[in-house]
Amino acid sequence: MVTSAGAPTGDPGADRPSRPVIELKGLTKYYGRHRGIEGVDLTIGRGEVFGFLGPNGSGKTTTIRTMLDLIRRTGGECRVLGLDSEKGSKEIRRRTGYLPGEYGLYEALTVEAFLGFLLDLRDARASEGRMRELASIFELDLGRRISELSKGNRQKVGLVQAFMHDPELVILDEPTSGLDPIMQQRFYALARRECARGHTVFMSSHLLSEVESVCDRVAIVREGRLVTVERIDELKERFGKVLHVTFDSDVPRAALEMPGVTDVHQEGRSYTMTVRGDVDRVVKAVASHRVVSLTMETYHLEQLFFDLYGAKAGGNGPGSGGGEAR
Amino acid sequence: MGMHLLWMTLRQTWKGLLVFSCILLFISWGMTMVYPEFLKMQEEDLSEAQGISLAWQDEPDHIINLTWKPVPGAVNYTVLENNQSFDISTIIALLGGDPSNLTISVAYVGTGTSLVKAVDANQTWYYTVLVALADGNMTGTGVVTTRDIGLTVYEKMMEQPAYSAFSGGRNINIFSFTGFVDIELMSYWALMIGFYAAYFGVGTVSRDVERKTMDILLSTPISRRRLLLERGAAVTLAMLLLSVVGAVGVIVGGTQAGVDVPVGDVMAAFVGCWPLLVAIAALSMLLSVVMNDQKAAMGLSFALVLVFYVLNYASFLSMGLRFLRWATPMGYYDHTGLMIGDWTRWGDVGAMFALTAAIALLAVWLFERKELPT
Repeated sequence: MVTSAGAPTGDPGADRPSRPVIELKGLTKYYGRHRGIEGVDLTIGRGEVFGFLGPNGSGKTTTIRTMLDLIRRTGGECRVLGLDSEKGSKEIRRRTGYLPGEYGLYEALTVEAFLGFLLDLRDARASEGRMRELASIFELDLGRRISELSKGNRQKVGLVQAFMHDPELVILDEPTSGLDPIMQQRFYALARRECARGHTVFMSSHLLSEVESVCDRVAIVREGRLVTVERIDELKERFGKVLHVTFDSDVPRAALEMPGVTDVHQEGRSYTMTVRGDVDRVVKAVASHRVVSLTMETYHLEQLFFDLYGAKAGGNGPGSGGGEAR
Repeated sequence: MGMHLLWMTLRQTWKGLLVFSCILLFISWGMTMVYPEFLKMQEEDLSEAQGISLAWQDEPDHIINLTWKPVPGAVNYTVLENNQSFDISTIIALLGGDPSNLTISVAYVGTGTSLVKAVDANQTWYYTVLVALADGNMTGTGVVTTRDIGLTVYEKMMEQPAYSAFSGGRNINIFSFTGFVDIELMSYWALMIGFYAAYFGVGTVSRDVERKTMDILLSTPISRRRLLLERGAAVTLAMLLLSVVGAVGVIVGGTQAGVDVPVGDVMAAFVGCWPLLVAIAALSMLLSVVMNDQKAAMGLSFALVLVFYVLNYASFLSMGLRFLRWATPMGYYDHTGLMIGDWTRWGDVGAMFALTAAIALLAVWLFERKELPT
């Protein structure tokens, strides 16, 4: 796994990579009086798969469309591939692939004609071979008319057009929407392969499990503001693991209270607790009683997401929306 | 750098364009085919316009010769003469009312069907014939006037501003082929294609905004300026096609009808519409850039085409309204002038191109600064 250039927890930009692919400083976008995003700081290096996580309306799409110069920032800095997102827009778009969250296709054309047209606009007919290769990875029939395609197949067209000209940076807004699990896995593999080649994938999602399985780092955004930017593994480490244990006799709660163990919940003879740090000591302490069943799982991002929101944003759960941002 | 956007635009719109071209071809061809029939009908109208006709002998004594068709069951005929315009219903109403209101004189009472008399040539005289029937009822003919002697009913019609405004204020000869085509076809041609130009112009931006393809399109390295200009070029080509199609219909239809068609003048009159159509398309493109609601942009464009047409028409109704010409691009397109061989208004063509260029530049400038709606 290529995991270069990650900025450390909570302070993006402190350990700046030699040449950041995306660099946002205090990026702010208002739609008239409505807030889109406010003061977003983010530095993303080469060769990362970066997850941009947040509920609907949190400002993910606003951030992405600002980077691509489809809308104009109200304040702050926005540099992509070392270029100002507005002044260098054309060069950025030449070297970037983009999958919008919501988009249409030219219905009357075949998939091949549509993708060929986009290659022509990019002056990249030489990439036709790669386009065919990607289509075969996603089992996309190039000869079909777009008007006949299912939602999943349309999403495949969107993905192929984002990757087909071999861009250094691919920006994807909800890339797996509509894809079946097999195709999702193929997309994850493609994203990992691209990042192994030193390319960067920036993807927004509201699915935490998706980000967990493919991303190196993740930024969590809510109501237009960044809540945290962390490495996925550090995040998991910080939030620890969840231990479920059931004993065959009553075990006093005090027996489980030790350093590194928190959030102990008891239900009869079953306990659920969060474990951080040295797992070995905890397991041995538990094993001193007779155990009926024991499972240990990674602290799930869904839970983490909920906890972060609960802790930092006044207790609303994810998906509660409420922001005015797009 | 190929003109990929231009070709794609034509590829996406050729079907609609083809259908509309066929409709235009059919209308222009069909209307022209009617011309011989129109001439025949008109001759019949002339011979017995309203059952009464008037001949004029200018020298030496200003003698008029009034004749009318005999009416079955007529007891006698009364010819009324006046130097004011009136119609038959007014006369009948007057006869039934107070006779002192009568300002007309009786020129003849009898059973004959003609009247010969000398008149004052400095006055305009109006005549009508009242027919007393055996059953006690009364009927009448229409009105003839010495003012119209030698004029056909259509020429009389064209003297009215409401009609001559359709031919740029000119009293053109509607019986000539070019006059017929001008009044019966060209007078609303610009309005008809103008709507299509507006539709096409708004489509340059709205097609991609409404189908949500703009984000993908503009994530490629093409500039927004190039997008608009290539789309504009596609519209310009399409409008040329629509301009020429009408001329083809008229030339083919006229030739089939046995007319010696002045090909150059007809071509000039139709192709002269091209700069106007491009200007309308450019304005519609500007509206689709400025407005986020593309359906509203379409509606406003259509409304503007209609307003332009009405303003242009109104500008010919009187000299006092002539200034309205400056407020409508249609005022710069003189189809009648071109049709009758006056190709001298190059200044207007230049003004139209300048206007189009200015609108297109403004549209590009605004589009480059536009926040694209999701």
